[in-house]
Amino acid sequence: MNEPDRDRDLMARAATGDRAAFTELMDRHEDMVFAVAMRMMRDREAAFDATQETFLTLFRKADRYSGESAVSTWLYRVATNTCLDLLRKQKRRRTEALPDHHDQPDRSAGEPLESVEVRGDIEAALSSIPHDFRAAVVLSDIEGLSIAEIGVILGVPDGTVKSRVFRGRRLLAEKLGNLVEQPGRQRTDDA
Amino acid sequence: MHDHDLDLIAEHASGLLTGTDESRAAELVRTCETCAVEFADHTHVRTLLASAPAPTLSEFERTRLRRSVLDAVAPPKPAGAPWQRRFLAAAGAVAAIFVVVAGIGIVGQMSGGDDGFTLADGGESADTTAAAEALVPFDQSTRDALGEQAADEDADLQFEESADDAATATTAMPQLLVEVGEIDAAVLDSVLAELSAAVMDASEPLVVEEAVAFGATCALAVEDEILGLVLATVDGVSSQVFLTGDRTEPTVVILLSSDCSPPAP
Repeated sequence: MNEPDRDRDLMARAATGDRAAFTELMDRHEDMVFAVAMRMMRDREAAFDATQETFLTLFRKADRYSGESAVSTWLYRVATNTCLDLLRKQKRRRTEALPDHHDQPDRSAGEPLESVEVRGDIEAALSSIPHDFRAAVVLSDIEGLSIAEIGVILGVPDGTVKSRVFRGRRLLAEKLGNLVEQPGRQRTDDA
Repeated sequence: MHDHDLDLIAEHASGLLTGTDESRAAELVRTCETCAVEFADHTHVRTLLASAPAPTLSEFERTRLRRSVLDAVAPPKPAGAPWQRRFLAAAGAVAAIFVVVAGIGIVGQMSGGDDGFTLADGGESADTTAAAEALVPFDQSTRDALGEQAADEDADLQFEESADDAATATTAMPQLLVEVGEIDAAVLDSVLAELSAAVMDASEPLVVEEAVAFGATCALAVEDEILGLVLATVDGVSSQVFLTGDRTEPTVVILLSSDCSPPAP
């Protein structure tokens, strides 16, 4: 049984209340969900909450899963929408500013310092762009999903996905422009 | 000056174009500086993002996540006394929870008495005096009976007030931890009685880590604050006896094997 089929089988069992199947689904996808949530929320505790909420939704709505799209796509959708909801709530509460205790780069994981610093810069840049752009860029350029898949996840047409990805990248390029020197970065209005 | 089709360039940088569109975009990148910069920007951002290491859950977060989610989706508790409800919920979730009323050997630091137990650090087999061998659910009447039987036992317990030394890298132990030598079921009860008393008498808050990670399934079984823990070996299986529930009435006892399997009968 391939991975998507295994996921579908587990979803079908989870829908009947099979906790072992649900636990296995968590095993298989919790890192992916948490990674997306971290990219979206930046704050680790908020990302944890979003991950938790995503799996609660998975369990409660497992019987609504039609099987047309991959379980991972469905999970991306739930995770992304959960994060966007949380971010909108934060915005309404006027707490859009970076959290007081947002994560510092984790330097204990044996990564080269350079890599840790680059990651911090990337996360900071991502957190500075509009949520909708952020979601599209994360799913496209970090998670490697296709435009069509992202359209399904975000519930928007492909053209809108492209627009969000491209505009998000342009904003990120401004933020990250000095991270790695690029030749010809100076934009000119050439003929 | 030509009209820069920057979205076309972005699509090209994303590998979304084929055929004449791709050729046209490639030509623009070669001949138009603005288009070249646009192409470089998209490629640069894509490369950076794709190479960023993925954030991962720590083991503690993973355990906490499992426990919080699985607890939240647990089926409604059946009616019954609090300890019974907890026991049933745990049993339903794990199907591996047994409490031993006989044939118990407990490993640890308890000094030996004349009741047939021996110290465990030599790894010697238990010489228990318990007659019964069966595993049966642990009910209050049994505990009461065992409590009477154990009344004369002088269990010289050693309580540890801090979990720090006992904690593993990812597992936090309760603050009250008692390890005892091999004893029979009656002495176990007296151990638990003393543990309960210590819990109730403690002047400092007994901060117990939320997740005691003996595996996700085992963690399920412990619904309440863990007030105390007895490390035991039950019929050769390393086990933990949790004291849970309200601190004013810490009477709930659940025994789990360390690998979530039932102790062998």
